Amino acid sequence: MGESIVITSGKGGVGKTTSTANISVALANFGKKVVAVDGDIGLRNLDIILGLENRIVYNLVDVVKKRCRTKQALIRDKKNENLFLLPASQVDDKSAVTPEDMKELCSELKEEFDFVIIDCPAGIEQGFKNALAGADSAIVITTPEVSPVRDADRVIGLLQHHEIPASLILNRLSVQMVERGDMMSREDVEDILAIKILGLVVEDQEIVNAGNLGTPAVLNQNSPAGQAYLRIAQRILGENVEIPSFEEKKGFLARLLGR
Amino acid sequence: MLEILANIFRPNPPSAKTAKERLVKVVIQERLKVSESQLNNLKHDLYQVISKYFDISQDSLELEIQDKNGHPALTVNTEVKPTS
Repeated sequence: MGESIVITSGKGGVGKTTSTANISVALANFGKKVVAVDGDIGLRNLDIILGLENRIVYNLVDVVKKRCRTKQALIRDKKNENLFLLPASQVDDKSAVTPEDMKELCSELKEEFDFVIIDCPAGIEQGFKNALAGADSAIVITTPEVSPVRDADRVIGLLQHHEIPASLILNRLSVQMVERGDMMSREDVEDILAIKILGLVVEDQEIVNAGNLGTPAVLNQNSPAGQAYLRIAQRILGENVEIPSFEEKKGFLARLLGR
Repeated sequence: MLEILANIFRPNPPSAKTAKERLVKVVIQERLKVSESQLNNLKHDLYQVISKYFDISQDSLELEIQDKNGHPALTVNTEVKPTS
């Protein structure tokens, strides 16, 4: 029996789909059988981030409506035979699926796969409720800015209400800006949200490159963000991998003396 | 080195501290599901009650929800004078 994890954030554009793709690829590279489920019905994007947009025949709504068998809708990754994508429908909307449908789908997928990673849509309405319904746990994504952190707090509250254990990925942290005092640090965000931190992903231009190419950055050894996702996957697998600490908030004299 | 000089001559103070302070305030209020207008009503009621015992001005009465060691705390602060 596998494990289902929903990747959520409240706020859009903070890296849910990128995180889903990278975590899924990393887990598959560690030999786990993984299915990445695009829960963003009507606005699918996990397919294009994984570079599988040309292979879609059936989708999640087809599966739920029994227009095809589940296996027919699963797309095998080009590079990793352990990784599959269940794409979202682009022509339906969120109301095409119910939380019960998602529960049923996730339990079916958990029989076949070690990990079911669900990419949640932005917002806290129907699509969010659907994405949550079949999840055993949640990973909340935020960036160190005021609106994503505020929305993350709201989402964490809702997850607690649904009794879904959650951890946090702090995404797109700029070490330089934190050092300058112009961006909240990991400690600041932890203080505000009071939730276990699963990983810290630094701002990295390679993420844009990876999106352009449809090859998640986790495969790129020169991508700091990719390497961070690799460590996140190891932590999901129960390994004790430390979160590297970045030099933050050095005092003026310490900087001057190069300490 | 250039960065240090840029920091000394920068026009604005670092903004992360302000971000954190604003967020702590808004997040605590939202967790308690208390609105700004409810806080104003509470402030008004407290003013009425305290006025029975002390001579206070409504302007000096400060009401804030703060984080105290990870728990929300209601802080009321006011100048008091004995009633004449």
